[in-house]
Amino acid sequence: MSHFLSIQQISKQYGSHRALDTISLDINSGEIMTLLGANGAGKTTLSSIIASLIPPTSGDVVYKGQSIYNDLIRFRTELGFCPQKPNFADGLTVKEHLIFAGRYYLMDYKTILERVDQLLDQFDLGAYAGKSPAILSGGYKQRLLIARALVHNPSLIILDEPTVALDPHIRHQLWEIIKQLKHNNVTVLLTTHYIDEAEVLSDRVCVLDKGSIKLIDTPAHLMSSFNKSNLEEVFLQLMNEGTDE
Amino acid sequence: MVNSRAFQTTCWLLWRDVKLFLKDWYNNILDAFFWPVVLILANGYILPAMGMPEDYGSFIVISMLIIMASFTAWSAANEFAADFEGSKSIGYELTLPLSYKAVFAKIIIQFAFKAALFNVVTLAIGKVILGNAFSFAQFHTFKFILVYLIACTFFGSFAIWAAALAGNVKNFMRVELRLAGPLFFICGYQASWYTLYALSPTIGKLMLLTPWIYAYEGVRIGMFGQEGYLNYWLCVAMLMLFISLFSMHGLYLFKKRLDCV
Repeated sequence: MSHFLSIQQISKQYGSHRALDTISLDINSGEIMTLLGANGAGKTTLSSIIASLIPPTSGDVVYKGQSIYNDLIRFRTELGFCPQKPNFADGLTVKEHLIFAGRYYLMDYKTILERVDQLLDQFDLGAYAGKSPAILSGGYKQRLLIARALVHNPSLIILDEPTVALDPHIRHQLWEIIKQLKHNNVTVLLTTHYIDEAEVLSDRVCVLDKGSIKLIDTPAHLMSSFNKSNLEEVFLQLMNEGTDE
Repeated sequence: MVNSRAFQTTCWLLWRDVKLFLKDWYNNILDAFFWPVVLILANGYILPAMGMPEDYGSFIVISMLIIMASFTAWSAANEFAADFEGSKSIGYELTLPLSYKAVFAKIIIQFAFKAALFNVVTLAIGKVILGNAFSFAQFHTFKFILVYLIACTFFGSFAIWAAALAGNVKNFMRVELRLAGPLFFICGYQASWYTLYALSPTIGKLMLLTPWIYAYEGVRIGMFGQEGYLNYWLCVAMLMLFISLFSMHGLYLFKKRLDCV
């Protein structure tokens, strides 16, 4: 069976450091798959490879049955990538960022304007439409990053630590936005080191440790098979097993 | 083969950069103003009073045009070097539906545009300050525009090459202090190639290995005519060659530095 997205035997080497070691992972259409791991586990490296931002040292990423490297441009038209750090162009307003995002994907102007208005409304960014992203708070910057990644209606969105360093109530607001993506049938690949976030949002969790996959499962099944009441205890046990080995 | 979709995306990215540059037109014109005013005044009036030829100010107008264009491209590349070690906003462009080669080409064109557009005000400044001493009698519109745009494209390719080579602002400044700055000034800023050759044939021959001499000479031919300078078409051809060399090696460094697909 062909999966929506299939990561096949991906490794990434930086000099003598092996950041990812033969990672294989299948992602189904419409699910929220979370890459969970401590800092340095390889989450951002893996999500960057899937986003076609950096190449793997070996292995392949297969999207709808085809290697993304065979037709990178087609893959990128269906992808939305939301990086960990805001990377806005100085001098553009919030609305201009969204309009240009539509332009890059060759949407017609009328459709762009409708979509941008919809996103400004959905992400509560309307009051800042004419402002520079530089004046936005961390939470609103993240909203804008996600909105920008969604302008062209991608079927896959990659969110790299979207709630890192945000206040708890802002994190919860972003969770609602991420849940809404699933509701709209967008496949979400989320990286995080917040275990509560993974527990609340994920259909499945992939636990990464030192560049390798420890396990992949649903949060509920993980908790029952480890006989724990929350995902944090499961995660801690897994990490302790790693340390004991 | 150029992918039509990717080409259009590249054009939109370029238009965004152009729009941002034009949005700040007031500051960009001011940036292009002060240096030429001061140096044209000094070279047009002070140095002749100390024994330099009367037409030296006129000669320096073109030197200023070239050096301002190259500094503008250099300044744009400085922001790029900062981005390499900072927010890496270039990462956004590298996930859009276009290749990294298109992103790289877009950056060169963007730098060339920035270098070319507002610095032509130097010619007007020269005319106002020097009056009849700065004559447009030999001005050849086609030759001037062609070589000026090619020279600015060279500055763009050189600047992105240097930024990709340096990888951060500190090293980029070192490239400027140790290599680019001295070469900008020694290779045709103060004297024509024939003057340098007459002074020392060895220096003259060495100058022919550098791209800047062709930028200075070529633009001067567009302004003052062919007499007293290297062959115009040689200047055009050599600048094209250097654009190719710096672009190819720059692209290699760019890919290596950003580890992009």
